[in-house]
Amino acid sequence: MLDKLNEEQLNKLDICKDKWIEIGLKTGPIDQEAAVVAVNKAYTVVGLTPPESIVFCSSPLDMDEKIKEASNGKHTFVSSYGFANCWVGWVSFIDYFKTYTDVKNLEAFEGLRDLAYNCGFVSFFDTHVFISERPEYIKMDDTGRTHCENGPAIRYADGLEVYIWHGNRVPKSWITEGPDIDQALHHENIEMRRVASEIIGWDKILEHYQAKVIDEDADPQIGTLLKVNIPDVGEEYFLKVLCGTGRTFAIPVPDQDDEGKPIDTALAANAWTYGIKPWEYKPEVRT
Amino acid sequence: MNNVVDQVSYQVVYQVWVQVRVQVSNQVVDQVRDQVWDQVSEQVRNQVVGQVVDQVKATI
Repeated sequence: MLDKLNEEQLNKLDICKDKWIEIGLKTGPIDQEAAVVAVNKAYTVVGLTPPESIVFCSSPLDMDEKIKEASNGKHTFVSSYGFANCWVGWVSFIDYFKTYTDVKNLEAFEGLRDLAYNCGFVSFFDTHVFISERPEYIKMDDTGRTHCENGPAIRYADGLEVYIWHGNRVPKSWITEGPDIDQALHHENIEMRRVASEIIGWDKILEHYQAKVIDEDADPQIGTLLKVNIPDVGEEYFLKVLCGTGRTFAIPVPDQDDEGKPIDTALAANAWTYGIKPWEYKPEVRT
Repeated sequence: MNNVVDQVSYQVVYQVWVQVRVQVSNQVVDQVRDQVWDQVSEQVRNQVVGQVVDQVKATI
């Protein structure tokens, strides 16, 4: 029984994690020969006869079409079971024990590991296996969330595109044309309203809804505290501020701090964004 | 999975689960897989709805 990881095994935790994140986010054409070997291995190591047919698809959407054709409409990709690099979390967990410990009897896992390494999405059936290409590219923001502000964040070579704003999937038109203010702020999903507002820019939203000034500091870098009534949301407070780069932006702020004291001045709102008290705020803090 | 649990203490399973599996899932599965999956589901759903509407239009 492995009761405790030794120093070397502890160091491998991050290495294993990084390895599988890299594999999971791999882009570009898959190696079809390696994929065929991996599929056959995945079947044989668990005592199954390899599939009669391995069908390569240009994207998960194309895979859906091909599964539908092959099954006379009985199955679709979205109703069948997917595997390979979309399940790398589970694969990484088993791979850690197989690679860095003495845990035994994990050979049956090798076929699925190789599939995850060599393929995009995969759907298994008795006689057929469908394998999708990986995305052509995946774009992310600085914090590692899928994101692209001027095009699809995920794109497949056959044209399947996913438009994403800091980890939130959005309609294509929100990225290519920009959301309509009224439609966006009446979206049924409140999180999507927030996303739309971010894309439009809070300063434009505030102008549109004629925000009222609560307090205006003489220093534009400390800013102006505003109150606005947003439909279906209610009263919200914003700090409109000039940043060091010369750009004006608006940040949502609460109406009271963590201790329940009111945030009723621009200085208090600005200090709150740094997690400090108004009297601790010094302009030179801004960099 | 059973082979791992049989040979590894709960503490070690938990440690590897949290430090490897959860982080890989957060970075890859919860983002890329789910977003692609949702996009395909939506397009397939819209296509099916479109076909049904076309059939209804053709029938009435």
